[in-house]
Amino acid sequence: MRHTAGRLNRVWLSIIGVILVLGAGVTAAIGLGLLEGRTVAGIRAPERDQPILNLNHEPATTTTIAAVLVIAGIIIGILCVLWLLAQVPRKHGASDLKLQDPDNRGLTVLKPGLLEDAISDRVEELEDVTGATTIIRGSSRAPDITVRITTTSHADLPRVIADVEHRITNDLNLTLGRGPASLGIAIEVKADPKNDDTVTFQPSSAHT
Amino acid sequence: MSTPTTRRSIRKRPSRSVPASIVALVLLAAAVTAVWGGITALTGGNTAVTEGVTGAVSVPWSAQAAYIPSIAVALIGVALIITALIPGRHDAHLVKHEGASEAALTGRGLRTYLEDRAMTIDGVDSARASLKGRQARIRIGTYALDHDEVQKDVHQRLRATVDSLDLKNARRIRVNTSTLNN
Repeated sequence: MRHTAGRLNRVWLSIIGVILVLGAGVTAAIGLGLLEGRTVAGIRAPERDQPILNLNHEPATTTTIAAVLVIAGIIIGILCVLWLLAQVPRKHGASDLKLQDPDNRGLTVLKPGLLEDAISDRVEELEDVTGATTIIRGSSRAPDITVRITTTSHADLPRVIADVEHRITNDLNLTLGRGPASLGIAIEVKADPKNDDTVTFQPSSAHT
Repeated sequence: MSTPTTRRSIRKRPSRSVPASIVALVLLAAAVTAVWGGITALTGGNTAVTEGVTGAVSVPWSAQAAYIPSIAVALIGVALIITALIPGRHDAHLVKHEGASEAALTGRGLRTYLEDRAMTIDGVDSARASLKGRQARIRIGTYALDHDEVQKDVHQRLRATVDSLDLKNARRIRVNTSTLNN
């Protein structure tokens, strides 16, 4: 239903993984003496007894280190906050639907939420469907509709799917003048109530 | 004329948001420490962080304090790459369908469906379904003395149920029966 940052996560996890493996691998290889006396791409591997960095204890060095820490910390910190914010699932729904008449004389603006609620309500009227949520993406000319329905476990799923598709296509044809450009139906199954002392009544949908 | 892009599928592979959040939080903590340490050092306050950095990079390459953490960090890197590259399972099963739409039954939905169908069969007193690979495994408990018959019945009925669902990758059904007694 909602979009998540799967690709972003995988790309960044790979990049960080490669950096860690290369950096730490080279450090460990030098430390274990595996690169002793070797030259890679014109850079001579340091002797393993040398300190990693030869820093003196002058105030200028301390200032440089502190400045580097602050700058690197700010950059990495901002990137991390952005990465964390990207984890929130996004609806990426349509903005207001603009319906134009054929002669281009008038414009009707429709909040997609209204249409989403209408579709959900109409789908919930169907037999064996106990709940529905809808997301509309794209434009009124080519609406991309995703609907998540909840059915009971005694439902005949292929029939329910056909019903839902038929209902949505028909309704959109009536209201927007065209069917959905694409339609996705996710089905969730909810167990029937187990205890015999609860009974669920549904209003009859005689006028459908 | 441009070709329309295809819609995102109704089913998803895991988005790896838990490992991503953990890595982001660890890096964020390191960044906050670095900024705080750098600023306190620059303003003439506590220099513990900068001294720590100086001390850490002054050890020789061959020191245990250098290569043992390096190996651990390299292993974490390998784990991150593996997590990123393994695609993971889809969270729903596509249903074969004539129309224009794409329909998918969620994994949890399929489990509930199979469990409830099994519970409607005579002799079954408890049912638990799990999906593994291309198999749907149903563990049923029964008080019936002859549980072979119940098992056969469950297997047959659930096979028919799965066939009627018309899933794109049909699951094989495996039934384990245990006799419940107290």
